[in-house]
Amino acid sequence: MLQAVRLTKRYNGLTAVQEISLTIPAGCVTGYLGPNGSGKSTTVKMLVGLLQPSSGDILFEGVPLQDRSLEYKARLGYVPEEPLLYPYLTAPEYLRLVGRLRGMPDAPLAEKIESLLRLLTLQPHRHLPLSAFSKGMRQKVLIIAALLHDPDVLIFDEPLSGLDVTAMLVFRHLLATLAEAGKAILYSSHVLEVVEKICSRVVILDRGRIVADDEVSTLRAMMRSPSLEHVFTQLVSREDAAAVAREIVAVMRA
Amino acid sequence: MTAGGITTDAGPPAAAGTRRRRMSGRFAHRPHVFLELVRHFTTRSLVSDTLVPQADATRAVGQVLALVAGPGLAIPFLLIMKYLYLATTAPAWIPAAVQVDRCLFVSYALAVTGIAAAWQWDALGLDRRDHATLAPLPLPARTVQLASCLAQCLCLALFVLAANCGPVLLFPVVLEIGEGAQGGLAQMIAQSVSTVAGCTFVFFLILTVRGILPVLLGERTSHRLTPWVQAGLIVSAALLLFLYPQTARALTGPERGVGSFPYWVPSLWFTGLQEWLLGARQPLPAALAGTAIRALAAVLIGYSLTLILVRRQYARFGREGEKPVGGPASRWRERLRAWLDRRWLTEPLERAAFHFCLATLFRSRRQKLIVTGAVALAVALAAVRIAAVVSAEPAGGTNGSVLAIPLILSFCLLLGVRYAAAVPAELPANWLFQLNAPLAGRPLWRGCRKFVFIVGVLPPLALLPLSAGPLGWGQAACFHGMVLLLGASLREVLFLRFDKIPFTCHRLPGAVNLKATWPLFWIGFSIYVHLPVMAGEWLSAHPHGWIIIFAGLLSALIVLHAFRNRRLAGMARFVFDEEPEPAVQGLNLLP
Repeated sequence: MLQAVRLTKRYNGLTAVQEISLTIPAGCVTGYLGPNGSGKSTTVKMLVGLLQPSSGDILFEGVPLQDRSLEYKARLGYVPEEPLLYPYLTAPEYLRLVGRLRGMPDAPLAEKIESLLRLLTLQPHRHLPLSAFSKGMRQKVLIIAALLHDPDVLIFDEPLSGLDVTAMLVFRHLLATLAEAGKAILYSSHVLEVVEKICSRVVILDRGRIVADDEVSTLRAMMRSPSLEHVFTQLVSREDAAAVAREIVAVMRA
Repeated sequence: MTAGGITTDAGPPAAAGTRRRRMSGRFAHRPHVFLELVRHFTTRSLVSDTLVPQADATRAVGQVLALVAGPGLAIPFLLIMKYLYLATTAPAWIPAAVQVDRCLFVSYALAVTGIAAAWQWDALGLDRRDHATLAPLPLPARTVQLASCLAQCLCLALFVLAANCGPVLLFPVVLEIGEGAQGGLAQMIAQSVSTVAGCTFVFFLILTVRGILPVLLGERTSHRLTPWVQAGLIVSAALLLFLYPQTARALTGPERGVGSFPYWVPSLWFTGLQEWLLGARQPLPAALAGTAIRALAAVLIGYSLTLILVRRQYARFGREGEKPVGGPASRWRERLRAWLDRRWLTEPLERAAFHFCLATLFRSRRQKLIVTGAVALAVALAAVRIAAVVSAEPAGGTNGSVLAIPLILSFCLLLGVRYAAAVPAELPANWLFQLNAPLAGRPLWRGCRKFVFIVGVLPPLALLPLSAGPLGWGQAACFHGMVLLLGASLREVLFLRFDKIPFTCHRLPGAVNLKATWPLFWIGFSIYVHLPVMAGEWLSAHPHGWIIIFAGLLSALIVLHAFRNRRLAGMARFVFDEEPEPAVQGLNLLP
């Protein structure tokens, strides 16, 4: 459904993402993994249209994004990495703003907001400004905002940060249900355990390049590793984690 | 036990002693820590994100101080011509002119300090954010408070220096050139002492109010009221400056020393102090000097008491979490919102833009402060106009001034809203609009225009009863119809090249070249206020003329509207990042 072809992004001569190609098919949760600074968020921002690629194409249903950018954005739901919201609005006000910006009529929008706030246990806090919300509560607001208009493509950038255990479980089941409903989902994270449980396919990024793109089970079999963590360590890690930890303690004590 | 602000377990005495030694060794550089804190608080007090957004601290401080110092340096040069003229034509008037100018410089110093302190209200003292950042560090609370207090004094010193260096150094020179007077050093010393005392009075008065408000009203209420208190203080400070020609008469005119008026105006106290320091021993300067000294002492005592309250409040931040503010909207507000949505805002995108802008203006403190500042300016200008006319023609002739008030309010309010709209509120959150706003430009823009109409064009209509006094209800209604159309046209002009959604666009420092454009604004203001007032007065005698006026204004509005829509139709998308000035500016000579 969504395809990135030889996507590159350069900032002032520094290449953040280099010629990456990936496909986000419908009916599947695609995990997007990589260490800090590997270019995950840059890719995600290009895929949602917040950043212009330096070169390469993004295709939506086989057509370049620039030719049908409005239609794509109308069918896209996005949860950013940081819960950046307008802190002086209340949750229903913010969600109403999002819904109206997406052209949704008021009556069904109000019903949806009411129901989703109740389901994600935010209803008691509906009169508080978002500045009074915890990180997890803000994350829930962003998740609701991404789902309000029943999008076909969903892009989540670290959506679980700050969520409590119950909300995380709900979210995992929600992703599975959405994938069953035929949505194309990209799930960017560096929490390997969660990605292993949620995603059927993973793309691993390192220093702006894709180093693996396959089914989780296939990757495990190929690398003869018991878990995704081992696969990731073999592909990406260049350092002995235990040795680094020892060095940190040594520096602390110096 | 507590060591350097960190609560530690009380161990055996020997272990505690060792720990203390280790702690004192680790923080042996405490004087540097203290200086670093003072530097941090001072910079924060001077940096204004509203005036110079996203600039580095040094540049921002420099720009704010330059803004304060600029007029003080320019005014003495303008006065040279006046004194040269008086010296040749009317030397007898010079002493009175000198007194008026002394009052001007004292008023200027007080007004600048007052406006700056009221504007930087939030940054001047300790708040929850400071507590959250500094409480986990091994810094005793008293060190933090002492640093904050010292930073306030430094901030005052910088304001005093910026506002007074020009007048104090140049005014005695001007007097020597114009008047041929000697004793420049005495004038310099007297002016320095009086203006420093005046600035100290105003600055610490504002800090005292800032410290007392949360104690008197509670944190929540004071948080809500603060922008209005700030606006009130800005109005008062601006009035001190704008009304100086009228207030100075209490020292120079035939009414010198008559009544209790001089004892109510702080700028006169400190002008009196200056005269007294220069050797004037008449009863009025001596009495005013006494008032100035007593007021300064009272404010300093009040400020010292406030420090105790602030200390308690800072300690309370640690004990109590921030109480969330908010509650269900009142029923009438909900009904009004529903009515507007049903009748006036027909499309979801219009509603989105309208309600977002309205909520931002009334809830974002920065935006609220800008608009209340604009209202404050309008109040000050209206007061000046009325005072000028009343003092010139005490028996009447105030009709024109009364009619000018809605126009002054309309102009200042629209200018304030335009300026506030260009200043971003929560810039990182604008990704929402970047993702969704390009979907449809025109309905979104309609919502923004309707928002400007509600907050910028409509409020002067509330002054209809005021205009009904001199004009009668029918004429006043016509006059306010004209104000409405003028406001709507001014809205179109001000937002003609505004290709943004209000409050969502990045803004570059120095993008608004006020140094070059202020004469334009002044001319525009004069035309906007004076012509309609003249027209209103003339039309009260020739009511048929209203038809021509309305037809003309409506035509202008329709043309502007059409022009704006054509521009909007050609616009690819809303702007979210201002383009920086090109490093190399071409002359576009080549085809």
